[in-house]
Amino acid sequence: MYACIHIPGPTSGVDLLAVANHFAPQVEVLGTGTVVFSLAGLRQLMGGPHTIASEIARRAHERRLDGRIGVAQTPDLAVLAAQTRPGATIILPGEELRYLGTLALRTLPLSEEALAVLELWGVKTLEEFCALPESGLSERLGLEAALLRKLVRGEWHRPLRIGRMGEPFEDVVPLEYPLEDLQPLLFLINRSLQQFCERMKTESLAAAEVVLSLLPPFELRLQLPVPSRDSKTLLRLLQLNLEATPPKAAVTSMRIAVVPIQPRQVQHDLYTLPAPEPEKLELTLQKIRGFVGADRVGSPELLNTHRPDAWVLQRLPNLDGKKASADRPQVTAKLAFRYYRPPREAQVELRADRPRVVRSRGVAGRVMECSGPWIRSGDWWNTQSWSRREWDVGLDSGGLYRIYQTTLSWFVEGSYD
Amino acid sequence: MLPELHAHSCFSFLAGSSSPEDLIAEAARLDIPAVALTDVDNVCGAPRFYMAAKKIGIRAHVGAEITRESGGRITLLVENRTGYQNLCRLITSMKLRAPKGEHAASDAELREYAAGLICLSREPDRLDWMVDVYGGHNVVLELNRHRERDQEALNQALCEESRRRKLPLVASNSPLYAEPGARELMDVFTCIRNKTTLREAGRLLERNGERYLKPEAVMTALFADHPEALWNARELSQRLEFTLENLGYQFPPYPVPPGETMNSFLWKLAEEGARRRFRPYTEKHQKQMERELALITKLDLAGYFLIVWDLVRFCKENRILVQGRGSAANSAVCYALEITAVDPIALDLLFERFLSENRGEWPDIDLDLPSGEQRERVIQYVYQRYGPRGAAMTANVITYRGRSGLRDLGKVLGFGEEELARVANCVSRWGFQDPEDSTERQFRQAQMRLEDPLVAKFMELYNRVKGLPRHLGQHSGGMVICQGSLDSVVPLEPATMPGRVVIQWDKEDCADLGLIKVDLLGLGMMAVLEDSVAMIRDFHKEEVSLAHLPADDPQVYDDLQRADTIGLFQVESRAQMSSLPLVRPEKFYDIVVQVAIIRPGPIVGNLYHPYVRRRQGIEDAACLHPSLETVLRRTLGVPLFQEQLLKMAMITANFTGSEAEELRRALGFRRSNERMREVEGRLRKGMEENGITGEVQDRIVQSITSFALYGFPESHAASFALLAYASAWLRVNYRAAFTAALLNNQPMGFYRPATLVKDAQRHGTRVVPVDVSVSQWKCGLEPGPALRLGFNYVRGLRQEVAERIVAERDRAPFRSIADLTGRVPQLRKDEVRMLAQVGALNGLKAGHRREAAWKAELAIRPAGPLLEGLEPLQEESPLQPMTPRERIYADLYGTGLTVGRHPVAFFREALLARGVTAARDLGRVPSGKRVRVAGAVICRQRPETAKGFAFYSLEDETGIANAIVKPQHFEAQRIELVSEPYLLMEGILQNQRGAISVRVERVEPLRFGPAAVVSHDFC
Repeated sequence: MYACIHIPGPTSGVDLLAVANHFAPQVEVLGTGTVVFSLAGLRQLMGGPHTIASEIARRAHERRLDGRIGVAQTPDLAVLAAQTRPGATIILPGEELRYLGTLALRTLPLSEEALAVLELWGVKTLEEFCALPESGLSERLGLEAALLRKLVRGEWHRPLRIGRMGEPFEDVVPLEYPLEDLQPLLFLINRSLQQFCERMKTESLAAAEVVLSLLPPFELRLQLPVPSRDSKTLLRLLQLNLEATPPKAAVTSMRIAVVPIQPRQVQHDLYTLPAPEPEKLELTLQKIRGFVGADRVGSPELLNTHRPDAWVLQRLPNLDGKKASADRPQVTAKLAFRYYRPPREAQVELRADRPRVVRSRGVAGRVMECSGPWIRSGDWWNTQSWSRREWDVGLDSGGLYRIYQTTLSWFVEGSYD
Repeated sequence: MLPELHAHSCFSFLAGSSSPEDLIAEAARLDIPAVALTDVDNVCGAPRFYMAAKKIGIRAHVGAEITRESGGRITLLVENRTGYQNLCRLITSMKLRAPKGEHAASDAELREYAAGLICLSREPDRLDWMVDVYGGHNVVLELNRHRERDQEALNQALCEESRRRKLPLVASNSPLYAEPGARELMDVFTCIRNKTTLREAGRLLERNGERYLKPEAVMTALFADHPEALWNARELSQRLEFTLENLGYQFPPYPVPPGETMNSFLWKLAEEGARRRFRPYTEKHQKQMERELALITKLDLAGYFLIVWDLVRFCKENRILVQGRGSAANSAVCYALEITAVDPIALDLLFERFLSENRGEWPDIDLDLPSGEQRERVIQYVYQRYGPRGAAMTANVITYRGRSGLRDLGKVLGFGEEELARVANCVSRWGFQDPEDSTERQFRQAQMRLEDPLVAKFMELYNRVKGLPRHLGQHSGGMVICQGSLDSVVPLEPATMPGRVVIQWDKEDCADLGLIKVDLLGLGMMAVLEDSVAMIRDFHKEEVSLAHLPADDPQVYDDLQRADTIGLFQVESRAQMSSLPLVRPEKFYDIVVQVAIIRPGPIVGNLYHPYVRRRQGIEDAACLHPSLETVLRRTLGVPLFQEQLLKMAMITANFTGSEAEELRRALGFRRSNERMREVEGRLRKGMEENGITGEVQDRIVQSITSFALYGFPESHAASFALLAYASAWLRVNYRAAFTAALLNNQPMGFYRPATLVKDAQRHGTRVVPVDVSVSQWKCGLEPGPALRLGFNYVRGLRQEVAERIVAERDRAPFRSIADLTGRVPQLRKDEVRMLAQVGALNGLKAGHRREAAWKAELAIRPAGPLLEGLEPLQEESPLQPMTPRERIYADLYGTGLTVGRHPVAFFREALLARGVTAARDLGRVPSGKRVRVAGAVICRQRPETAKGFAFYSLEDETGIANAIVKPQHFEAQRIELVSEPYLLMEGILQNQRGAISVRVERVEPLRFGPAAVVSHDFC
């Protein structure tokens, strides 16, 4: 017999695997929320399929996984039962159609074309589907349809497809006494990370994410910009994070898990300047984030708008190869412009609607020459609508400045070099 | 006074956001003396721009921005007529040689059509080429100042070039809209053009809102450092002498035999025709012919008549049914030339309604042709005869309206599909516009929060965009023909339909500018009549001549009086069905009246009810004055026709025919108070001279002035009545052939094919389903006679494949489904499955549809080289046959109709239990009694004239029940009434002399499965 646990909606793959591994060493993972495994040998340990199903449900519940359970004589039937029926469904041999016969045909992974043909034939349920002659079905809708028919009838048996991710990269370490210092905790973390990294090397994997969960409840998720299996780097990153936001109380239990993926294979371009090593760069950035705050580190990117000096901070490092927006404003000015950030509030005297005197912090003088107004406005369709009138002014004190007027006030935006 | 020489209107199609009229109105407000309209690659807006400018006294210059192959656009202004002709030819040339929407002018084309054009340049790098092509005198450099810093570098470069090359500078604001507020719509149009949203558009949007028409004071301040640019703009405007006043359009002459002039040839043809058609040809006929021909000669219109005659001759020679409609039917000459089918002298019609000396307008002859291929043949004949650039269809400007505007705008503003669908559902699709049904109410009904600024902006923009052009379409039949080449009068462009060319102006523009249009209108019923006659000839071996149908067939009038008119021309609508039992037509002229009376005009003008009461003998059929007895007697004293108005004025106030026609036009929709007072004065004076005074005079004047708006041309009604009678006669005498022809010419008329088939079945016609062993592409007849549905009703089946099936079958009958698929390998899987689904394969050794589908599935699977050509083993199907209901729904899905039971029949017992009366039994229910009716909604109608009342037709297995929904009930149950395919309606039955309807008080949706018929919803 086989059992399937299916969790509809988003779930923790690590937890699900942990539950499955409690019952079987080898587990087939079908997507993020579905696992199937053999129950061979469990009958003597735990009892009949109903008992086993109850136990699976209990274990899953412990991990706050409320899903559906299917138990059947083939892996696919168990999956079908779990994915289509609520609660726990135990299908004994010969009872397949009793449980699944009334299900709609669309529950099977048939192509749209095959479904349309079956609808034309008046076949709506799995029972009606199974009643079709095998050879006739195969001749008309192909081998796949015939196999699905066998699957529903429990006649299609296949071995489990065990992937590398059968064993989770997870350590749960209950502590005998609470840890108040970071160092002993880092010691424990290091030990787990070293083991994980060794295993990942042998399995050609690398960590994309490290999850550290502590008790009393505290969680740290470290998403890595590039997959890594360097335990030192991972440890250093965790350390920096823990130093920046340490747990609020002494730690009584620790759980650490990594999410492994296929590592990136990058061949560097012969003619491109070498960038810093991603791991080192990330460490550096992490240090900076620790000083200035995570939301203040990144690379500025101009926004696609006529609003002057509008930009956002993009996360660094940008290793996905995407270039910053190619749609840059056309700049025809011959002079370089130096922005004051933030712009300086100013007092401007006008004569005949043209600036005559400008006074602001560090910028003041009589206007000797000016051009403008240059008018810009935008975002009229929302509450961020804006409008401004700009002037380029040359002051008697020397210097060429850009000043502008909004509905609120005058500002000096910067100076021309 | 400073002109604006580079303006865009909304006819730049998404590159300008104000209408030509708005630009002119704003120019007038700002005292701008002249504006040049330079839309992108077209002069579509030029006529409207010119007409609006002419009224106000502004000079409307013509120009265009032309897209160049080498990139960018070049702005050209028309200096003189040569320049205009060149501009038109340039646009035509570049548009006709490229796929639609991908046009651009080559340098060679620009060079070829350069004369008479002035180039407005903002490209300092291309000035050598421009000066070379247009000449130094005709290149001017355009300075723009939109308050954008980046523009100044270009302006400086242009000034530099101006000094160096001695080319003049001109100042322009190059407006994209009339006033600053229209910038928002411009941004929206930019997004629609770039298929993006306002949020995503970024720097595609306008940098500011400065591209509006600016008055002289503002422009003077802007260009204070370049006063010569302002001066030059004034100078240049003076140089642009061309306006649309004189296009140089000429109607082509008709080639006549040697020794003949067009006049003599027309006289000869008319005389011959008159002797043939008027029998006996009396002195009265002769006098009328001479009078008409004399006027035609005097107005130099012989060529026009000959060209239309030539078209009719082509039709007759090619056995294409043709009939002139409209006021042309007033003319004895048109009748003699066989352009029209109604004898105007027998019907005492009035020639002046068609042609009068003082009108200064071309007569209007519209030809009705069978829609489809036959009409296309006539259109292609015109192209062939006058050359591809000598004739073209008129355009139809498709504007932003209702849902289209909503969707385009909503997407740009970032609203989701669901919200847009909600708002779209609340926008009225009906002719009736509830005065309280404002956009605001529609938005609120769609649960859009107007307090949200974005929603408020959406609504504001939606109101603004309504009526602005979206794209250029093709008018249904208007063709313009020109002496020489039409492309020197107006640019031509390819239509979406292959082989068609359209001009850039619509029919109103053509009328305003004096272009002559011949309407070649496709009339579905003409095709039905033609097809019916052919089928009767082929199947019954009988020859039916539509020109000589037996007059006044009692069975025809019996059907009309019982409103048994489904499928008939003009008299099949809900409103007609309600009216026919009351009016009870007894002779041909009654049909003429019937065609004319169920129109918005007579209903709004309150002419319908008096006529019906008089018809029923309830009211005295008194005429307004004894002298009008001859004119009004045949419409029982109620003036219904425009010709009657003319005659009333002629009799009572001594107007001549021309004066009377002038009076009609003065009182028409474009009436002005001053003009009305003037004609009323003349009318009264004339009446007084004839001793008609006091109350009688007032009543006659009131009658003439009010009904001038609503009257219908009697000649037009008579032409249509002929078709209505012919359709009724064929339906009575050859119902299967007539129904088959109706089915073959869908979509047309008021009812869907499903209803037409059910109606035929109720009248005893046997209708048999599609069968691959028997059916043709089109529906046809079989011994019985029975109507055999054609392959044209099988959803998704291609015509060429169906014809291949027929050809193979003619070679040898199909032995099995495998034989069919083997011999017609073009059949796609979906086509075979659909044939099985609708039962068309049952005859090929398949007991039922599912068995056919089972076998078909095997037959269409590739067998592989080893087994190819072998018949598959005959294996028994394991499938159950479809239930009767399944068969009906398979029919409805696969063919849009069923020859089996009506879907409602399956629920009859349950409906009876709920007290529902079948449609057939409503006649036995006393008037005033509460009833329940139920059925498939086959028609929803909420006409403009009905003050918010909605009219429903519910079809069940016994017939059709008509229901009327009051405005308050409609609003209360709008969702059910608008969207549910089956309804139960409860209300009070009204039976007025056989005109039965239910005044609905309650509506309930019925869950009967898929829609039996897709309802036809009318305005």
